[in-house]
Amino acid sequence: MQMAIPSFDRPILDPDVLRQLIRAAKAGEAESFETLVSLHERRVLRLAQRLLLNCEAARDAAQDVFIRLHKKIRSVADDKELGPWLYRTTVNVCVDVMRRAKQEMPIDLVPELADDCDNPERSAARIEQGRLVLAALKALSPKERQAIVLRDLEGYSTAEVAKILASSETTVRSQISTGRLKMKHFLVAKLGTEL
Amino acid sequence: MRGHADPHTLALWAGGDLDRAAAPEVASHIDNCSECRQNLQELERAQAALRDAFAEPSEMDLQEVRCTLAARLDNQRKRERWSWSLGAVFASFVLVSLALMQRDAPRPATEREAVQLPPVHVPVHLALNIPEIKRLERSRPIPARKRGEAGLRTVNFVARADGTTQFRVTTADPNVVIFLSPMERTVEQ
Repeated sequence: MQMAIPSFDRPILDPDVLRQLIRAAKAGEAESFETLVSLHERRVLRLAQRLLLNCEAARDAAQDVFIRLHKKIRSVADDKELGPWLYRTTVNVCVDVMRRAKQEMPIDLVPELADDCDNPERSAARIEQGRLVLAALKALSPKERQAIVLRDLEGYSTAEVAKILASSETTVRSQISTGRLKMKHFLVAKLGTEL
Repeated sequence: MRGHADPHTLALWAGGDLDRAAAPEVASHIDNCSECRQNLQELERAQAALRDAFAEPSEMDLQEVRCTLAARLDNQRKRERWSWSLGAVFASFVLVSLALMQRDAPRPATEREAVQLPPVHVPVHLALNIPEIKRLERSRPIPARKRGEAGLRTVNFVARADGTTQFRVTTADPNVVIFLSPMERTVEQ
């Protein structure tokens, strides 16, 4: 199954407008910085939630990412660099959060609610499956989780994932295949034929 | 392909990450091998379950990020302003201190305030005993045209190994060096 793959190259806004916004934010214009935040906040928060599986920690991480952007905006060269810089920083901030957490962070992310209201049994099964998927993702090593989230959930190409994780494509492919196999084994063991 | 497909190959195939050069062989194997086909289906279902499990961030979460971020940036700006203000106060304090120190420092006397002392002459006579004048033997005497005019050239004060001192006087003639031992020194006022 092929999915729509987002890419760094896909413009989030007209490149000229984005360039102007970045230039104004570099000059210290607060409104332009807020616009840049609003353009990227959803993607940054979503990535943090998927990496940390904890809503509160993800919100804190997303704020930290934008605080770092505010400090380093002058070193971001242009509009093409901003996206990769933000996602790389999000991954780094999340890795720091996981490292700093003295105890295991609980999964408090609520799986996507089933819209099948007419069939409560099916809805409950789908929610349970969602919980198991989150548990399977949490069972992966941090590197495998990062690679799976970026490739299979965020839809970046292997090359882009390698760029974000500052790794090689070969290593990322290995992490992706190992992660997918581990998740499959976990879910087959828990759900059996229901998967 | 012998046996079953490698599980990692199937995992990459499931996500469309397999190298295209290896794909036709894997595709024909999957068509003919029910076990690999089942493994592939499980992998694809696991991936679909993964994609279905996550909701988009709620508007409430985004709003909270925005509000807290705005408050943190506001605090940061206030701190920066404080830092600048403190820096300006400190710089002013340093400048005022320097100005005060400069005011209290002794300044050079003006021409009117200065005391003019009469010049004092202290004639000094140095009595020298000249025991000998050595003529240095050189393998190749310096030719007369290079000797220049007669006269003293340099006077050096030389400490000898036995603790005594002497003057070493060179002359215009490089073949002639005069060693002098000071015997007596008188100062006349």
